[in-house]
Amino acid sequence: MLQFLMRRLLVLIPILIGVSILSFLLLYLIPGDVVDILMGTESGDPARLAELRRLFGLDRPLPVRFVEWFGAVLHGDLGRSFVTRRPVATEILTAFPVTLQLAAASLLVALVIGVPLGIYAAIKRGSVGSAGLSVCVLLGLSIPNFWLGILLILFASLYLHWFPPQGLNLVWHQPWETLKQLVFPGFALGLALAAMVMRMTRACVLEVLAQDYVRTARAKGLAEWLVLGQHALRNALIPVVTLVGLQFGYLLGGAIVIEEIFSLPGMGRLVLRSIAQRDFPLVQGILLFGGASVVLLNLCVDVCYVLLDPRIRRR
Amino acid sequence: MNQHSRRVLVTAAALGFAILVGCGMAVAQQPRPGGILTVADPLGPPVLDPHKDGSYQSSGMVLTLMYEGLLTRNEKGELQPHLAASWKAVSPTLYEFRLRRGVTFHNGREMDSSDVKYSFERELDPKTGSPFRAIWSAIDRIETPDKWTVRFHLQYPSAPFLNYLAGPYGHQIVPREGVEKNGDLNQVAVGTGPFQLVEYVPDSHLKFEKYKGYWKKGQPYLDGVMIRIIKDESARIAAIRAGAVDVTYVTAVNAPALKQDKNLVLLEGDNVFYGMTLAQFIPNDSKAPFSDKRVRQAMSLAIERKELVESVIFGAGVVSGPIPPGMGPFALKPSYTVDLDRAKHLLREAGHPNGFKATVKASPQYPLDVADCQIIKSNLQRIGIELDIQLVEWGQFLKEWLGGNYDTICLTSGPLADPDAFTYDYFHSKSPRNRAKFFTGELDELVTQARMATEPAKRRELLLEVQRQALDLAPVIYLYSGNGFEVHRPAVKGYRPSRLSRYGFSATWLER
Repeated sequence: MLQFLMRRLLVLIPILIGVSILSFLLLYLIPGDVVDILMGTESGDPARLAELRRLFGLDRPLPVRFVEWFGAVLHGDLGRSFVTRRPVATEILTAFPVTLQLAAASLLVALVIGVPLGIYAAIKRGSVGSAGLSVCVLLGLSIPNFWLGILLILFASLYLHWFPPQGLNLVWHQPWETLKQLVFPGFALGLALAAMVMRMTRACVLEVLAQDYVRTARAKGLAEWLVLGQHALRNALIPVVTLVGLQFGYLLGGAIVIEEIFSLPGMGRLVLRSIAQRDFPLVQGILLFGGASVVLLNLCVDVCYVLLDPRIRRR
Repeated sequence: MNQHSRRVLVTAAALGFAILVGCGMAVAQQPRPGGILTVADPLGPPVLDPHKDGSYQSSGMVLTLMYEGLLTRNEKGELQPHLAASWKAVSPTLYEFRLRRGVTFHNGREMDSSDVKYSFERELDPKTGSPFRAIWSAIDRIETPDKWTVRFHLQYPSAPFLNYLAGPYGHQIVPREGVEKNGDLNQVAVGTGPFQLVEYVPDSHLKFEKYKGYWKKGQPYLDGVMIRIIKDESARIAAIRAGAVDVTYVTAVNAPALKQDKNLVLLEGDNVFYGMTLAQFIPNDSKAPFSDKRVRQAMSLAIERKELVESVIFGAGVVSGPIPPGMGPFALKPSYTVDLDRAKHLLREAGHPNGFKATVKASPQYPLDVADCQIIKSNLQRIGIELDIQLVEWGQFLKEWLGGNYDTICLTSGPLADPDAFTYDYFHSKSPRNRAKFFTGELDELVTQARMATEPAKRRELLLEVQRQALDLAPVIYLYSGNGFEVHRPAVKGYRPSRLSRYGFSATWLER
């Protein structure tokens, strides 16, 4: 097990180097730089622009800049944002928990709605209820999440005279405020995911229920809910874990549009803002962080597999 | 009780009641201290240092709460003393200001003339990289004969000088130790204004608290201000409808619905926040075929400006020349005509009997500009000019436009403080803000004279002549000037709208 983990963690290094080089190049190739953005429509004086570029270190050759940045990273220094002058690490660590709790909220909605409904649809296959659920799945997958989000806000403000609390609310500091803030965006994001989870759960449970060992368990006289809980679900849920893990990784990237609509100061908005402003150090820091998160998350999913499926463990 | 005494009692009661109501109403007009005003803005300030960013999001929306300048403007737009208690023009190139005493910075130290000198010299220093160097370029040197007097020696008479001292950008007085201790004023805010910045989370909010040592005794009435950054306009509107926010700004699209809402107060006009914008269609005057003034004139003759005002901003604005009509007596009232025959004739004369193909660039971040492009494209098709609309991301747009790599663009500029910003900055061949690449210098002499004409009547005459020539030469094709829209809850009192700034909210109070 330990060997397995070590091998997977070593892979992280070349991946992160690759991500850094690629993002450095891409940002460099996009027209415009931070000085253009900061000066805005006032950029006209080439001498002043040149001076500012020198202050930001943008006049030096690209490989030199990359090596300098990389060297600093190895010492744990991600640099400072060009625009806000705050340390990149602070910016990321302020935004990430917001996205984390949004992702967790969406996931919770998806699992709480998707898994039970999926099981129900599998057990009652062929019934009217199951057909109705299929229609709901279609709706859930088709409705654009941002549209749903705006609709929810408008509905709440017009009929309930309520608007979600704004600003930076973290669940461990202001649990109740955070809950109120996340109920709409969590639902808007979670609905599509719930539909996917429901479909997957239904398919998996159906497949498992057709297995021989389930027939044996029933023949033994085991109660139906024990058959389901003790034997069937454990196997059925493995693909669901994969799905959830991948979706969580995607959500951690920051659902940009939802964050914009609900004014959540998370990673999505940070990424958008930093790219629009050509804020090199911040973009680099975010992509490094994002790359590491995805790899570590996949690792977690694999570990979950091992825990869920003893056959893998024995290998 | 008999009839007579009953009548006396009733009359006394009625009189007493009337007096009470009268008193109540009088009391209701008195500012009430306390409360936190919540504002919803679409964007946060990219930079907090007042000398480093002239964007609307910084200066107009946020910095006016924390920083102040020597002068300010009243409701009519007239210059008023602010940090300077009085001033006089000793000569056309020498202005003397007497500073107000008892003004303190947020760190407690009293402001004096050395701070004024420091602030302007900082802006003029190339190392600061301030975009306002150009505005103050007329300053030769600053003298401080004593702690309360400042003398500005100018290189040449400057008509816009006093107006720029009233802001809303580049005029703020900052303390030397604030800058030196922190490198710049991006992380901390130390000004003389009515509110102190307590917390700033980018993309989320700005929290301000009342500065108890503010020099205007009794003000500000509010305990604090909370600016929430809510980018999506429907979310902002939902917030104000639900009562989560007290003041916000909206665009023409949503104004009619808000006007109907009895629970909200809608302010509309050109002297409302972000009003008096100027929508322009800017050809690249350094590039053929636009370098020929006949081509530019032909395009101007084919554009239906009234249609633009009706369709793009739903009638909330007016057709405009180089200076928006709302700027007052300096603005020339343009008389545009639509004459397709004359336009085609001019194109023929210029060597384009069958028209030509060109591109127009706009940034999708500004949907009004995109809408302008679409209407202009159909207008110009009628005289044979085929425009291909290219939507470009803002950073790239800036690069291409300012680098001269474009045919034409559609752009709306925000409200500006002085007419000089519309004339000298736009048309002088050496001006860094010459956005149309108009380098022939035909208007140089005239705009320079207008800039130096401190006597109002002479200045007006020169500015009107600049505009007449600019309409003829058409280096920039002007479209319309749009209104601003602000919405606030009825409990917000003493709120003074202005296109340039929020004037610190120092005289605003809440009735609740």
